Amino acid sequence: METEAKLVALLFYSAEPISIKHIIRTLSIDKAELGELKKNTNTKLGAIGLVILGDTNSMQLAIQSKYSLLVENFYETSPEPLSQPALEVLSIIAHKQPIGKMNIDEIRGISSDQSIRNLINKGLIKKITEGNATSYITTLEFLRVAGINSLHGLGKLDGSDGTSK
Amino acid sequence: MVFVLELENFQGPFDVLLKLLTNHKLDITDVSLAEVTSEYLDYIAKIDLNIEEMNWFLLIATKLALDKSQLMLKMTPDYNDDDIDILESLQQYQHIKNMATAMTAQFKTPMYGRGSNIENSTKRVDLSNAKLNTIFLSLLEKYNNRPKTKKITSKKLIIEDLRKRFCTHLAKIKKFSSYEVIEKSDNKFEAIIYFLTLLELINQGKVNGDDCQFVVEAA
Repeated sequence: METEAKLVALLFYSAEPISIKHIIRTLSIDKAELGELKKNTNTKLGAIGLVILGDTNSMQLAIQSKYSLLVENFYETSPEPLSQPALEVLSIIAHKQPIGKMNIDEIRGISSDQSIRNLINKGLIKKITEGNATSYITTLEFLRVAGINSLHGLGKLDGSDGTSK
Repeated sequence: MVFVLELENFQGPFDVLLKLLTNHKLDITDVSLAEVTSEYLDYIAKIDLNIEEMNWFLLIATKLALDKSQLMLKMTPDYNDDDIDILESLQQYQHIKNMATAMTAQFKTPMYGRGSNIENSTKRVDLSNAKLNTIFLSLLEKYNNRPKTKKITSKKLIIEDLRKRFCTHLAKIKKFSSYEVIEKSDNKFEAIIYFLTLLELINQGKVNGDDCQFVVEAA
């Protein structure tokens, strides 16, 4: 109970996502315990319209997606729409991450440079480099914008294993 | 210098093929693809593409033409590992498009966090006819009630008028000293004009004099 309150305190204070490593160190728990803590805390936060978003690197406290319209009407704002190519690229990255640009291009049958740049600028994806290989993954901002609290919230790519010949 | 404009909404060959199949209400099959191959080739002959885009479109065009010829000749396709399986690629692309459509709906209900998240959204603007009409009427009222600006008139000094005025004055007084130029002048500009006029009159012999005393000669 006390740890849940501590987690909420840490997340509430920050307007930006905070590093999972930092949380683990501060609360003296391991990654699995943090996963369980997040799950339990989310159950309680649900009653007051809040949710903890998290990916493998960071966590953020947010308002549940069912209240997005209320917030938008109050602040007279709307989510910025994405173009069709950007949505396609984002779908590919979200379902097959980490994925390289060449594979994205192969799936779409055309270069996706412009869309990738656009998505990076919006903070929805980021580039990671392992050795000489560069690939792209989604960010916590993507989860927030997509209104899901983890990548498990994404639908599965049915009927395709996603590999091109 | 050539500037290349990258349009983000530009779609690739798979999108074109899917649109052609949809237009003909065809499913994604070898036979359907063979039916739209000519239309696809016509399409890429008409559009302007840069080299990289053309490369993608031609790659698919070549494979389509090969698949169609093999289908017509009832030949067994001989695939290499590097070959593109258009059928499989199209099905996969169709699936991605469906996922992107589903994602569009998801993006309508984001989870707002504290701080900067609202700033990334677009400020909603009410541009209904009634709202536009109100804005227009408000602007019109402001325009009609604007403070009237006073017409600023400048006193134009016309050199010829000054010359005539000075000559008429000299003709009346007949005799005068050089101080007359100063006394008659309201400002430096007029003094210069009167002095030059006096010099001109002396030069023309219409005024004579010495020791700064002048007499207007009878015409």
